[in-house]
Formats: sequence, C-alpha cells, structure tokens
Amino acid sequence: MYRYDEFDADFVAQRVAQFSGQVARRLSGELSEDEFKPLRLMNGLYLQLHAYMLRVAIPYGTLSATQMRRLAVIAREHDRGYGHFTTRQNIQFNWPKLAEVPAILDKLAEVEMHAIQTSGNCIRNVTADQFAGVAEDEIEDPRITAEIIRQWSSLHPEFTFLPRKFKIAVTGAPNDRAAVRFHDIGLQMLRDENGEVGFEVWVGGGQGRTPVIAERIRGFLPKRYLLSYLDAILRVYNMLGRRDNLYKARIKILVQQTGVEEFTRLVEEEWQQIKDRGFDLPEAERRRIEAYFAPPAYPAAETHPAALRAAEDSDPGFAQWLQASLAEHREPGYGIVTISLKPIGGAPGDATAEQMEAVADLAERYGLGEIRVSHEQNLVLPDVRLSDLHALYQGLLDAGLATANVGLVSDIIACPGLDYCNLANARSIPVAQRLGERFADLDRQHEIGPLKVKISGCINACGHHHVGDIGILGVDRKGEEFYQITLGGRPDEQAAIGKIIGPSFSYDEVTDAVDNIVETYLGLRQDGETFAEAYRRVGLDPFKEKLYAAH
Amino acid sequence: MANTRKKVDGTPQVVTANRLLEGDVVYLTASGGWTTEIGGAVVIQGDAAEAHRLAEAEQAVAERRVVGPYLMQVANDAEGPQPLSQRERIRARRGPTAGSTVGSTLRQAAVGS
Amino acid sequence: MPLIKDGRLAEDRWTPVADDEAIGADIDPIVSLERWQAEHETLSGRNRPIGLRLRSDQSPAAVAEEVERFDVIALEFPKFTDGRSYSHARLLRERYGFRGELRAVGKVLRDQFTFLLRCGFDSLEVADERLAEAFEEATSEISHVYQRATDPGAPIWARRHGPAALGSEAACTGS
Repeated sequence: MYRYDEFDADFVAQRVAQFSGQVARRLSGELSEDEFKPLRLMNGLYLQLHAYMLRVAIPYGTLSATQMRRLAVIAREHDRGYGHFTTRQNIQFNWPKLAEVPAILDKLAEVEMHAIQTSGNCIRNVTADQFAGVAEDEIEDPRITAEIIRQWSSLHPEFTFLPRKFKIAVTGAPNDRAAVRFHDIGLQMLRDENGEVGFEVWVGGGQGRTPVIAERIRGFLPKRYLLSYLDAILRVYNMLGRRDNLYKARIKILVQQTGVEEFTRLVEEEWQQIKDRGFDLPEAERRRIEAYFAPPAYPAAETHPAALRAAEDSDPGFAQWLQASLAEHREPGYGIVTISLKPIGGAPGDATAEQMEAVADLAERYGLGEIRVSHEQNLVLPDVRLSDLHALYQGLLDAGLATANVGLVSDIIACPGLDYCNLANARSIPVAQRLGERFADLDRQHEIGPLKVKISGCINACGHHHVGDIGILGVDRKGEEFYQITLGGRPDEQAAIGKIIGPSFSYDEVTDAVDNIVETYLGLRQDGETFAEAYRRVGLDPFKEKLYAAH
Repeated sequence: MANTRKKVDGTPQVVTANRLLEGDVVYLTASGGWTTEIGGAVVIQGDAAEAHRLAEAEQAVAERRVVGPYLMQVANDAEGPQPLSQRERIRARRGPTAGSTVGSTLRQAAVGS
Repeated sequence: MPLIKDGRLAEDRWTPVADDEAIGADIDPIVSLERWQAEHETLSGRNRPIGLRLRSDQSPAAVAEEVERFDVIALEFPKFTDGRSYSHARLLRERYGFRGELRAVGKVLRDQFTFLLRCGFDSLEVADERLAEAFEEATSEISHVYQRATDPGAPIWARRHGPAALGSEAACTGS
C-alpha cells in the first residue's frame, strides 16, 4: 500500500497545525461559529445531534494493521470505545471534544492518516473497489489512480469552494463494486483495442434527493491525461454549476440541465486548452505511486487444502460462514475474506476498539497486514491463505465478528440516522436491528440468498436506499418516523434506481413490510433466481399487491 | 439542522443549544445557566419571555459557552418540560436509542414506542 | 476597505464607481462589465488607466480579447463559499494573458489567502486591517502543494523527481 514520503508527511503535519490554529482561534473568540463552521467541515468535523463528530478518511478503503490499531486507540481515548465505518470508506468518531480534535489529528498523522476534505463543498475522499489489487476480474489496481487523485485534490486551490460536495470513485474491474455510476465522477478502467489501459469516464451520477445514473462522457481516456481531464470537468462545474439552490447544486443537475452532449462538448473544449500543458503527472511520478501497489510476492499456498475440506465437513457454522464470506483471489491458494460488521442486533458498520484490534491482529497473523473497508460497511482481509481460513474463522468468532451473513438480508447498509445525525428525519439503526432480529435464523438467510437492504434516515441517502434490492427511506410525518420502501435498485454496472412501492410504513410496521416482500419473493422465484433477478422478471406489481393486500 | 419550528401562540418552549467545548445538548435554566437535563430548563411562554431568553442565549454564544441556540416546543405538565418531536426526544436522552454493537450496554428500547 | 498587496497594506488609488455615477476627470475608476460594454468608446478615450470589476457570475471570457486595456481586474466574492472567481482568475492569467493587478473583492477569509494567490490574485480587499498582519502566517502555514496552478511554485511531484521530470512543456503561468 501507499506510504508517505517526507513531503506527504510534512503536508499533513502542516495541515494539522493549521487546523489546530483554527480551533485555537475559535476557542479564543477570534472566529465566530459562522466563520469556523466551514473551516471545521473542511477537516471533517461536524456538530451532530449529541456531540461533535469527526470523520476520518480511509483513502480508497485501504488500512494497515498499524492504522487500524491507531483507530482503536482513538476510539478508546477520545470516544466511547467504538467507531462507525461509513458507506464512503470513512470512519466516524461520534463523541470527540472540540479541544481534543487537534490531538486526535496528531495521532492520525503519525500513522499517515487525516481528515482532510471529508466534508465541505470540495473533492471528498476518493473511493475504490474494496477488492482492489486482489480481484480476479481486475484490469488494473484502481488504488493507483485513487491515490493520484487523493494527492491532486488535497487543498486544490481552484476546487475547494465548489457549488456542492464532489465525490469520485474508481473501479479497476468490469464488475463494478464501487458504484461508479452513482458518483459525481466515476472512472471505470478498461483496455482499448490496442490493449492500452485507460478510463471510461462517467459524470453526474448520484443519490440524494434526485437519484441519477451517471452519463458516460468519454469512452476512453488514456491514463496520462487523468488529471487534466479531471481539471476540465471540475472547472466547467465550478463555473457553471448552480449556486442558487442547495438541492440543485450537484454536478448531476448541471449535466441534466445543460444536456449531456453540450456538457461533454464544454469539457472537451476546456480539456483541449489545458492538456499537454504540464498539469498531468509525469510518467516517473505515476510509476513511483504504482510501485507501492505492486502485488506482494505471495508465498506458495495449497490450492485445495485437505484440512479446509475437513473443517467444512465437521463444522457447519464454518461452512456457512465460508459460503458467505469468501471471494475468489487472483492468486491460487489465497482467498479474500469479508468480515461482517452486521452482527444480528448490532449497529451496521460499528466496531469496538477491541474488535478493531482483533482485526488488526488477524490481518497480520493470517494475511499480509492489510485491511479494507467496503462501502457496504464491512471489513475485508484481502490476502488469506485458504489453509488458514478455519483458524481465522475461530479468531473472528472470539471477537464477535464471524456472522455468516455477508451479502444476505441482514447485511444491511444503514446511515447513523436520527440516533446521531443532525440532518436525519428518522432512525436507521434500530430499523436495521429489528430486521436483523427478524431474519436472525442464518439458515433462512442462506435460503433467501443474496439480497441487499439499504436504509437511509433522510433524503440525503447516505444509506444508499435508492440502490438497494429493498431500499428504506426514513421520513418525518409531523414529528413521527415513517419509512418509504423502494424495490429494484442496483449500484453496479447494471445500475438502476429503486421504485417506490407505495404508501410508507410506521416504525412498528416496517419490519413486517420487509418480511412480506421477502416472502413474496420466495413464493415466486424460479430456479434459484436471486431477488434482483426475480424482480427484473416480475416487476413491482406482485410485491405491491401482496404488501398492501392486508391494508 | 437546528431550527425553530412553527409554533402556536402560547405553546410552552425551552431554549436548547450545544456546548461549544463538548458539543453536549444543553438547555437554558431560569438563572441563565445551562443544564444537560431538560427537566431543569426554564419554560418560556409569550413573546416577551421568548425575546428575553433568546437574548440570554445569544449572550452565551458571544461568551463562547454554547453554539446554535434555538427555541423548541415542549409539553409542560407535572413532570416538567418534555420534548414533542422524536428528534428532540433523542437529543434529550443524550445518546442514541440503539446501541453501537452487540452486547453494548448502551442498547435500550426505542424511544416513544 | 483595506487592501493587501504583495503581502502588505497598500494605498488604494482606484475608485470603484457605480453604473450611474459620473466619473471624475482625475480618478482611476473601476467599472462594471455592463458599463464597460455600454460606454466602451468614452471609457477607452479617457487618457487614464481603467479597472474592471466582474461579478462571480460573469465569465472573464467576455473581455478575453481586450484584457490588456485594464490595469486592474477585480473579481467579486459575494460569499466566501462562492468559488467561481478562483476559476475566473486562472483563466485571466493562464489563458487570456492578463498581467495587471488581479484583485479579490468581497468576502474572503484569512484561510483562503493561499488559494487566492495560487490562482493568480495579487491583491486582496479585506474587511479588517489586522488581516494584513496575519497575511504572512496565513500564507506560509502550508508550504507544499500537490498540483500545478497559476503560481510558479513547484508541486510536490516535481520536487520529488527534480527538474528533469517537469518535461519540456511547463504550465503557462502567464507571468
């Protein structure tokens, strides 16, 4: 993974010192709250419902064991012993005190982490496929591109006061695990007819109040032009994006209102002016960054360990966990393990300090010391020897992290919701917990098969409800919580926005409603169809009829 | 975000804010102090009292004790002031209604249901 | 309003004039784009320097062909969160070749000084004289940059690899 050199380290240290100065000016009264707010937001510090919240970037979702241990220290010393992994590969601490934030940032900087641009109307933490570098279907490790973008976007002088926040995602594989079509800019790596690797450029996707699938504005962008092309898109957006209406300020609205052809023309025209003018990275720098992501030398490993087969036969819990958690690794004899942060009855994405430390230890013992964070709010150990899987499982069991539900109905994405968030209209976590308890029987979950439930506590859609097989959106009706259900959303290369099934449900009704939808699916599925496949075949109506029949 | 909700004239209200240093939810008391217990909040009725208490709150903002003060409607009976909206019920309990992880001691029954 | 130029408080010899205000014979006015376009002949005929003021929703492309006529161009920041003028400044410097004084007017914060300088501004109208004292500190807090902009400062990636990596075509900085 990437390591800071003296420039990177110095840059982050200077940024921490600058922010510490801003906090000091706030505490001394030199800065009013109105003046301080945009400054604290640019460093990921919110004032939420109960306390401050610090959002720390985990660039493209990659963490070392050392970094994970440091997050545990911060959770223990400056928080209430836990942290929340988000849908944007960040971690949020829910209880820091304002005066302690500089000390937290110092501790992060020591392990090459920061909170730069995790909020504000600037280019946010760049996200990528959580299986980057190890996925079987990958063309190139997207983290090389994501790290280049991370550096380029850091304190970019022109693009720090955009009309609205700006999110970029990169995937290096044709199977899109990074939801690139739902980002302001999505980059999908591909090869052209000559075998050269470059990007397909998608612009103007997003969720929120107005969910939009991105438009492809360029079929192939050579890698060497990455930054000048991003400069061109951002410049067009910075100059022309709407600033009169908060809800129309994202680039998706500009693309829609300008028309994709005209928008593309504007970008290409701007790009022609700036390409080959020294704004792109020199080849030597690209190669320097690339080298950090070179695949490690994998020690040879057994491809079909007899012990693994034996453990599967003798330990049904392990067999079930394996089925849910293991993905194919490009290296024979190795596997990618997803660790569920969705224990039955737990808060999706939360991990205690002890669990973070356990994962760090297991990553070193059974992997190569690297950990990933997925946008589905789970953790990933990317390099586990197949022969170590059973031992890893036992270690995870001890830490309360071996729930065999990855990709299943209780592997729910949920935003913090009204329990923490100042913007929320309704709670998300307890809805996820009740659903988890309803579907607690793992045999039933495995029988139901792949099914993504995603819950947002307000229209900002941090819980990605628009792209869930079953999406749940919390709304406020005269101070009471109600939940609107959508079906058929997909975040991947077959991107789709869920359709609203009908009138919303109260807090007490929503669990039954989801159960009803799942039962309808089980009743109508054919030949092992997944929920998504069945929905595509039959559409909304059969679900709607059953759901509202009793009402 | 913190805001003043539409109110019917004469509805009892309290002033709430967050402490600058800790971020804690607090309520303005009769003596012009701030408490984390909603039961200790001064209940305001009428425009004059409202203006007076808001001015006190703005003074506390200027003194960097609290941020973002606003008026919030309450029910006020023998048990003292109680929040009306779900959002304010959750703020008043000083923590989430649902715990962070399995086995967490924070986990409690849902509010208001 | 106090003016910071080249890092210090400076005398402002320019007079902003409203569109309906007569321009005294002995002043150097800063006029709006509307006035410049309406009174092009008269204003060009004056034998004194002239300045132009652009709102953040006015693209400098409107004067791309005639930037050399202005000694100063003032770009407005109606709110400090309105970042359009950063792009406009870069276009003026890097594309249209403006070499006069580029002034930021309106709402700018101490914490934005570095961004402004990097986009080609060389003077800042500020709300409070004390900001001039903070200028030095504010613009030296972060000494490394990750991207090329209008300023001549070398990005980190160039410093990592030395001059050889800069290639033959360095950015056109217009200065």
